[in-house]
Parts: sequence; C-alpha cells; structure tokens
Amino acid sequence: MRNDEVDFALRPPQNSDCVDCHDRANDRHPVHRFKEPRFLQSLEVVDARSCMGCHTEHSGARVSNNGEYCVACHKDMTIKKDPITPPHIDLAHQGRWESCLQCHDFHNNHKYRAPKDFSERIDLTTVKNYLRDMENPYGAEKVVKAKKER
Amino acid sequence: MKTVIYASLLTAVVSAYLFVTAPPPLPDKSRVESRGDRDIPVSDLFNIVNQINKDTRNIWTARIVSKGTEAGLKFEEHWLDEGHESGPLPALFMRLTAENLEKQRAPLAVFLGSDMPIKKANIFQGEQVDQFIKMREDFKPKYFSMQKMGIEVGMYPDIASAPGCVSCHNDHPDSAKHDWKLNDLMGAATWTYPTAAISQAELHESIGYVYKAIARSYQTYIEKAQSFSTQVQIGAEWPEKGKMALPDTAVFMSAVIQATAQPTINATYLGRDSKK
Repeated sequence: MRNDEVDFALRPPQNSDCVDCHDRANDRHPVHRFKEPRFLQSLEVVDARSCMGCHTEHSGARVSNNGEYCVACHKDMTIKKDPITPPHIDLAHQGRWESCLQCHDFHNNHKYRAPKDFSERIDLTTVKNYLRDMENPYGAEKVVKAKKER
Repeated sequence: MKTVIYASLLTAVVSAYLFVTAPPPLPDKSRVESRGDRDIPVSDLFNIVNQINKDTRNIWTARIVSKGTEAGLKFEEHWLDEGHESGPLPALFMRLTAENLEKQRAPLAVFLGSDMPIKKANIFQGEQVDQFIKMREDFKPKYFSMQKMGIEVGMYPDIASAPGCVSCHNDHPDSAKHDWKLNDLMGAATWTYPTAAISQAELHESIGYVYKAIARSYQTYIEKAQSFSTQVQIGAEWPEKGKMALPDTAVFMSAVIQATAQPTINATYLGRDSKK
C-alpha cells in the first residue's frame, strides 16, 4: 500500500527533496520558519515557505528572483550598537535592499564574515552574477557540504 | 487486410478480457486514513504535542542546561557557529525540534515568538498580535484559523519558568525588555496544522513526529558534544557539579517518555471526547 500519491516525476520538487541533500542546522533562513502566521504579509512578496520561492532546481540559475526580497521581513529592523557605517537602519530607509547580499550570505553556509565597513562590501555585479550561478563571492569553503546525489 | 482485421479483433477481445478481470486497485493508505475518519478537532492534537514539548523543555532546561552549566558545559545563542563548544539554549532547542518536524515532512509545525523578543525577526504580527493580547489577560491557549495560509493555529503561553529564562532575556543586549520576572508571560508557542479536524491515525502519526523530532534534536547536540575538546562522558549519567556527563539519546528520551507518556495517553485515549 502506498502512503503518498504516485510520483511520475511530473510534480515540482518539494522542500523535502531539497533538504534530503541540503539539510543543515545552521541555516539562518530555513523554509519552515516562514510557515508561521506572522509571515502572512511577507509571503505576498516572496513565498519563502518553499525552496522554489527563490530557487529553481539545478537549472543554471542559483536564484530565480533578483535577490532583493529582504525587505519583505526586515523593513522595520532596528539594531542596537550597529557595527557598520552607514547603519543598517539608514540603508533600509534609503531602500538599499540590493546591498544586503553584498555583505550577508543568506543561508549562512559559507565560511565568511560580513565586513564591518560598508565600503568593503562585495561588488553588486559579482553578487548578481553569483545569483545566476557564477563565481561564489562568499568563499568556496562550505560549513556543511551537500550530500551526494543518490 | 485479413491479418489487420484479425489483429484488431484479437486486441479488442484481449482488452475486454483484461478490463473485466482486472484486480481491484491497491488501497491508497493515506487516502483511506484521511477520509471519513477526521472527527478529532486539531486543537486536541495541539494540546497533546504542546504538553510533550513543554515537558521536554523543562527536562532540557533543568537537567541539561542548568545542571550542565554547573558541570562546566556551555549553552549559548551561537552554539552552531564554528569554534563554539556549546549547546542550544532552551528556545533554540525548541527551534531545532521545529526543524526536525519539517525534515520529516510533518504537516504539523511549531514556532516560538513574542511581542517583545530578543530578535525582532521573532516578533508577532497580524492575527498573532490580537490573540496574544487576549492571552495576556487570561493566560489561556488561543485557537484560530488562517484561511489565506491554509492553516489552523494553536497558540500556547510561554511562561518564564526558570531563573535562567529571566536572567538571559534581561541581560541580553538586544532584548526588548530588561525587567522580566519569574512567571511572566514571555511569549507563545504557536502550533500549526493544515486541517481543522484529523483522524486517529493522523493524531498518532503527529505525536510520533514530535517524539522523533525531539530525539533527533538531542542527537544533534550529542554529536556536537562528542567533538568538544573537554571530554564529556556520554551514556547513562546526567550532568551535575563535578560530573561532566551527558545522557545518551536513549537515556534522554526515556526521561522524556517517562514525563510525557501518562498525560499523552490520558489525552489521546481517556480524556478526549470523541464525536463518534
């Protein structure tokens, strides 16, 4: 007896398909967190409940959107003793959402430290190219390596 | 031409024979179980799993974090970061449990939030804000539906039950409040499920998911503890002052089951009013 619907390889990948290989406890933005009711409005901007909300499965582009969706959750952020200049709150007020990934590794799986000096951020073109599956500016060394395909 | 006619007739006869003599389709277990039998309000499930989670957190807080700290073990916010030889604080152990529910493809999910969290990312928004205001008045669970997200929700009070909860949240530089006291309502555990009613099988399955998630979370910590530069004795012993020990996963889960089995059985079989 089968427990699930028959899979003829026509259904889109599910989170569990991704997590089978890309599972790690250190993910700063795990998809399950976005299933909480408080993310209702954010989900109208980006469906972060699904890996497919941002990624396409191994199709030549690392991220299928423009990577500027941090605003969906972080628009009201306040950081005490903000270590960077200009402070995060100023960047948010200026709508500089393209700059988030210039300093921050979204899933936090690279051995990389965000710069304290904003002028040392990664070049925006390099980030955009990374989203298209080009060179990784956060460093080649992963904290947790993906499991091999079965 | 004759060959084609004979072949067509033969095909038609064979097709008719195979159609008539076809065995009945295999029963689809998931569909059988989910149809017709959904007579248990999902709030019953929320009550059971929340109690399991609450009792587990009490064990984690009192017997691992508090006693472990006395033994010399460390528990902190950034326990997963490289070079940190430490374990998760109680709220982070719960987050790990939530992740392990997701990894099992469980339809059940749990979250911890507050109106005054340390991390602003954990602040309640929308319907949760209104429900939490009511909870502040009566300290009782709140159940509601969120049709846009296709979920049923159960929110449970998260009380400052140990001195460690109060001191950690008061001392944290990012805390939104620095005058927490014991027995304050600090936030809420929020459980979600996609349907308003569930079957007996779904109830059992979901309880199983929670126990497995707890076991996997504890195992994650034990695997980290095995890499600490200070050797930790892992086996049957619990930590205490002067004893750098941790129970293995089987021993920890025995304590969890001992604490939760009776209330779970009561709520699952004895205290729950079935509509049947």
